[in-house]
Amino acid sequence: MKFRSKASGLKSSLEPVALVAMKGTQKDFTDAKKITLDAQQGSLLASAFGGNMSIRSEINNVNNPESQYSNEIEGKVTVHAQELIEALDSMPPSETLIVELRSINDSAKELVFTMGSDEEQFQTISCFPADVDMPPRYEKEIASAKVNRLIFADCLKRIGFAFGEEDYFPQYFYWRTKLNKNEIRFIAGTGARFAMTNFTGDGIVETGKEMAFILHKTIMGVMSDLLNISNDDLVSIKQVNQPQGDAQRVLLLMGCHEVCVEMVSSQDAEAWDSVNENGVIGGDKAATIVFEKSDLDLAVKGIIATYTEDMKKQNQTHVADAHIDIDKKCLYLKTNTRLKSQRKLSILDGNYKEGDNVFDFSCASRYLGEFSRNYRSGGRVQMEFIGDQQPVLLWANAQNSVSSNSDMVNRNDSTGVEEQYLMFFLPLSEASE
Amino acid sequence: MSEKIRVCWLSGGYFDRHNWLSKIKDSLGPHIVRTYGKNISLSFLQKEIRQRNLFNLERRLFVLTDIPLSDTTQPKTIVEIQKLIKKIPDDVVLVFNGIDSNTTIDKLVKSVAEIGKVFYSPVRLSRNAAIEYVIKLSTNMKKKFSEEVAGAVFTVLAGSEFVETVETDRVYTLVHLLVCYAGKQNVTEDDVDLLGFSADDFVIWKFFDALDTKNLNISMKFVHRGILEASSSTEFANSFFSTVIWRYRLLLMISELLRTKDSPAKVSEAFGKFYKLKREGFGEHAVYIAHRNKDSDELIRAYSPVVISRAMSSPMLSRSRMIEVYNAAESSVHKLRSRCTEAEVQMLVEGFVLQVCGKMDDKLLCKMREDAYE
Repeated sequence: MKFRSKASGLKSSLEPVALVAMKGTQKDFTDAKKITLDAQQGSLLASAFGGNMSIRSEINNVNNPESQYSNEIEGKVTVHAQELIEALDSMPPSETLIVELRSINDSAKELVFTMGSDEEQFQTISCFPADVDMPPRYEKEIASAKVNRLIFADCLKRIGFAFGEEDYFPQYFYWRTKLNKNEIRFIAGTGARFAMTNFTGDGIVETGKEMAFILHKTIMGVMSDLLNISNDDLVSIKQVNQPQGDAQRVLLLMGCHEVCVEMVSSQDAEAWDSVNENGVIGGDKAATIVFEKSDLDLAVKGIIATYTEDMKKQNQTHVADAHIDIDKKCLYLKTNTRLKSQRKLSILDGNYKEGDNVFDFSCASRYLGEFSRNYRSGGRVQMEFIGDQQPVLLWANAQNSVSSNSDMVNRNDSTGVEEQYLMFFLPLSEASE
Repeated sequence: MSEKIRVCWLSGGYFDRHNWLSKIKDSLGPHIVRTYGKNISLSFLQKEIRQRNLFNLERRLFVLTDIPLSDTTQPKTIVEIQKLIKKIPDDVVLVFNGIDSNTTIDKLVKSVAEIGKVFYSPVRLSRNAAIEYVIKLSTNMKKKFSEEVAGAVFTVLAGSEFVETVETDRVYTLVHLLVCYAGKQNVTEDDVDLLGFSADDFVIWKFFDALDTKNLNISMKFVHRGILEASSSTEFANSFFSTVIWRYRLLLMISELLRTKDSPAKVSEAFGKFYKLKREGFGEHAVYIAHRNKDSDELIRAYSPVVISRAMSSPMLSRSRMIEVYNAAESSVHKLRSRCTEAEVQMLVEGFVLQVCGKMDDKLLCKMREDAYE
């Protein structure tokens, strides 16, 4: 095996492959951290499989002109992903590299990277005896869409904190993406608390029909990195069938890379069918109030400040109590632990019946902290109550007065893209004595 | 279980608690089980019980195997739990399972009894209670045990006429075993003798006594029980041979020292200078150094004075006999460390006992210990 390629082009093409090989892999997976390079006449094929995700990349002068790939001897080799990237990283970006497979002895081989301009300078990396065992390719495409890459990456950032942590509910280790023409929605949650973001705008999603899929939190980091290093404006997403069985896989096409997410459990996908956020969002509301986000941020800081290190060490849970005084037009947030906090948020506008008591609720204080931290834009917040022991909704981007869901958007004037951000949770239940 | 019962207390034998828990689960319909042991805080439990799920509407079963921790004293914690159990939401059932009682915890049991249900079974049974328990249990398993057979179950498990009670779980296990063994036949006292064994059989010192006196019957019975009890024959054989080697090496050293030293006191003093060694490094770089106590930095003795005095007080065998047992155990270990099937391991253990008791031809034994694969 022998080929020539420009260092910078080869590195940028192989970086996504190394990411899939190195990050978000299954523990002790045999083929993790390995990359198989197959040098063919017209293209260099690179593949990796970390157990959760696989990637196939076809690097050539059409897909990636910067690679300046030319093959001299065809051949296949499997190397360690980190060694490969470190070797490429050590070469001048403008250098044309001669990459050659050499035998050390009867059984061992090494991959040699020699500088084209000065053959006295080279790097070698070790080779594995066996190639990466790639999962079989898909048989049938079920649905496809093209999504704005930056918005897809933004959505991941917005809901990345919200995944479930409990083994009792493995379905909440996933987030759900819904794609519709010009609309994309991401939702993730623990079962008791969910965060949702919804983007709408011309051209952000191109699809013929609605598409929904769930993806596991393990791959969120690597997917986010892949989206950030890609140069394409649009990411092509395909829902495909497993070669055997009926579980669906998700395929992401970015430039010369075909990334396949292998870890979608059909059982967990079915469990997500019961998650009906539209039922929560669209239902009748018993009461609605609006207050300043900056007021909430400070109040939450005070609340969280009473969650001492001692309490954390003892694995104690921190609960915040909320009470609305209609006469004073105030939302009170307080904690009643060893350290105490009571904070007051002025209600700018409200829509409620006199004497209603649905406003008093308790919740894990971290829910309020998460909302405050993860949506940093200021503005106002609209809090909606469905009823007693029913979900409480927190909408970002609210107006000065109570408004409908469609009005609570953050509009980017240059692109015309509108974003909605919402968190909803169930208050702690108050059982009857 | 009644729909309205939301708190239960299960105490007593493992199997009875397990059966009650299964019945509680069956009565709940679709549900999620959460089991918490040590190191959960009370506030965490309170929050988990109060925090429902938005879209999963199954009932929730919380099983606690220990009292949750809090930053106050246990009596105050118990008061908080007493408040908590009065406010259990409709979709939750809280079960305290197998928590050891004390005077403070008894107050909680009393509170549970007022609003929920307390299931109690004795951990140990007297003869009459055991007979009653066996008959009731066997009837539940659709098998009729006579009073004599039930009495034999107690007698076998007690092992001695001086033992007044036996563990409920051991009675349960033996009855289960007998029902499976008998199949469609009636269970007889012979079956009980065959399958039952008393806890005393497991005392390794009794086995050594039997081995030293070449009592084949008792020695064999011991190793069979050991193999039955262990998860695999190999696991049993490994611990068995290492204990045998450890004991006879110690006896050999004592006998050597007694030949050169004047008195047992001096032997005991000499043993006090044997220290435990600790390995540092691996392979050819391994170095053995004296092992020290982390807190006091004192050297740790290889043999405690109690072990030495016990070994010296046991009837001293002839030196050749001890070497014979030691060598037999060593050669068995060599075989054990090569590839061995479960049957081979059993043969190895039995062969060892037969050899030590002088009932087996040495040539046959050597053949048995050869590697069949080479």
